[in-house]
Amino acid sequence: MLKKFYSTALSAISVLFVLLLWWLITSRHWVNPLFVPSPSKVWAAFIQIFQDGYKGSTLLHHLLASLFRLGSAFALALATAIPLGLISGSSFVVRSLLDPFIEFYRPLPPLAYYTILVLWLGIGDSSKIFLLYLAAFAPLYIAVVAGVRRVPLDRIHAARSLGANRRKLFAHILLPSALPEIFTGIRTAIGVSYTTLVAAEMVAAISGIGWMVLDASKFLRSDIIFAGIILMGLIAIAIDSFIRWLERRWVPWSGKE
Amino acid sequence: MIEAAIDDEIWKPREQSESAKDAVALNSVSLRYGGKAAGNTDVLGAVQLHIQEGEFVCILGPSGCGKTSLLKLVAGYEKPTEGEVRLYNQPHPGPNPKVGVVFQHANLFPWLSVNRNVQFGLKMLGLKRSERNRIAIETLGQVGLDSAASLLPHQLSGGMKQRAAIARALAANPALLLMDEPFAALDAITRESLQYLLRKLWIETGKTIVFITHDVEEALLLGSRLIVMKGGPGRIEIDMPNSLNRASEPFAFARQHLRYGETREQLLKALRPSDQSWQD
Repeated sequence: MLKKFYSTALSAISVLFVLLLWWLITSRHWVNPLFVPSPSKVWAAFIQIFQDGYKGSTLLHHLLASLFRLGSAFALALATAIPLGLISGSSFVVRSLLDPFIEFYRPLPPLAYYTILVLWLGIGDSSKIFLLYLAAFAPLYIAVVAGVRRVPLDRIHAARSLGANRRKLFAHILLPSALPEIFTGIRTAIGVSYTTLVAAEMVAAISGIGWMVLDASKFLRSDIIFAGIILMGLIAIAIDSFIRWLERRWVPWSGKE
Repeated sequence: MIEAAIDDEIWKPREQSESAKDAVALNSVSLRYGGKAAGNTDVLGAVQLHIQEGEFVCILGPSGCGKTSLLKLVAGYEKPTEGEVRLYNQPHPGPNPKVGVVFQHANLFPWLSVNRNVQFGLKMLGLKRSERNRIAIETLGQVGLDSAASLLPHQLSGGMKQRAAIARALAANPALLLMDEPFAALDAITRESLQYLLRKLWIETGKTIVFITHDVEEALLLGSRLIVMKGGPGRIEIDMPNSLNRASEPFAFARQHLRYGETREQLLKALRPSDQSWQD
């Protein structure tokens, strides 16, 4: 408990130090404000886009547009990767059939095939959501497969001796057993799809926090770029904290078996 | 008086004859992992074993003698390479709730509370929630775990985990209970309290129990019948009734019996590797 307090305190001091350094560098004009805008300028830019919006849309609208894309892609990934992963994890036939495709597309940079997706699905939200979905699917699927394969055989035996049939094994044993790995997969998947977000909003978008940063860079508005990046980072931390909170609530036994 | 109660034929091997009251019957069962292909050695070779309803069979044997494999055959986790396993005069239907299993590590479901673990078998049977809960509370009472019902398995001590595992197996009301060295990992005091509990449950419920152990004293205290297995391939070396075990008598009866030391020595001798000379 005390260690946790020290850890938080040290992190806070470290962040404050970097902020102070940032303020010092800019207030003494050691660097060109175009490269590093001052904290006050970034704050002003933040207030400005918060109050007046950016390019015709409110900041909230941009945020919600991005979160909607992320959220739909993620819901789709959860709904497909978990059942498929459960089946693949317990059937080497299905696993062997699916693995080549997943191993093939997983390491590809999303931008490489994004144009194809736009050609197929149009320039609307669906191509963006599908790109994010592909980014989230692979790590999630791989985590579920690993989780299922790590279920001890004795646990399956015990369940069968208590009357669980194959179908009930999935819902009552394999899924809960794989939950710790699924949560790890969820956190990785969110990280990967979040990084893909800016790429997804690069093509034919007029909304989204990623688009806002990209658009601001065309006009060298480094203050807005900074404000946007900081906002993106804070949102990512908030999402991750939420997932970890869920994990503690749902999988309190993780690592204590 | 005690002397007179013991028949002198305890070393006479039991006859393995088919009987209508057989809970388990292994007819010339052999097991070879990886199938019949050459190069795969037999884990069990032509084992003949009949267990009657209500018996408490303790199977002793050195590690690697095939005693766990034998239990897996009876549980239905493995199918015999040759021969037949029958339960209650029927071909083995595979793992089912009539055959309860308790493992060496408690093997509880870590995401379920103790109460929910005990309810698991009842849930699979499709019982109503209120009924499940009633049976779970009753069974937890039987094993002395009433107060731990809402805890998760990782919050339990080793002994409590095994109590919960026994309760989980019992709640589904199996006719046959298979136990694979369930107390091996426990400290001496906890082990003894669980031995008392198991003996009490056996006397109260009259279930057929097959109990694997490498502890000779445990077998002498618990078993109504003792089997010693030898490996390479696994076979039954000794099979005898345990006259030291009386349902009506406490453990001390067996421990203080004149025959206790002698029987213990005989079993230990049978368990020792034959290719080594042993000096006292």
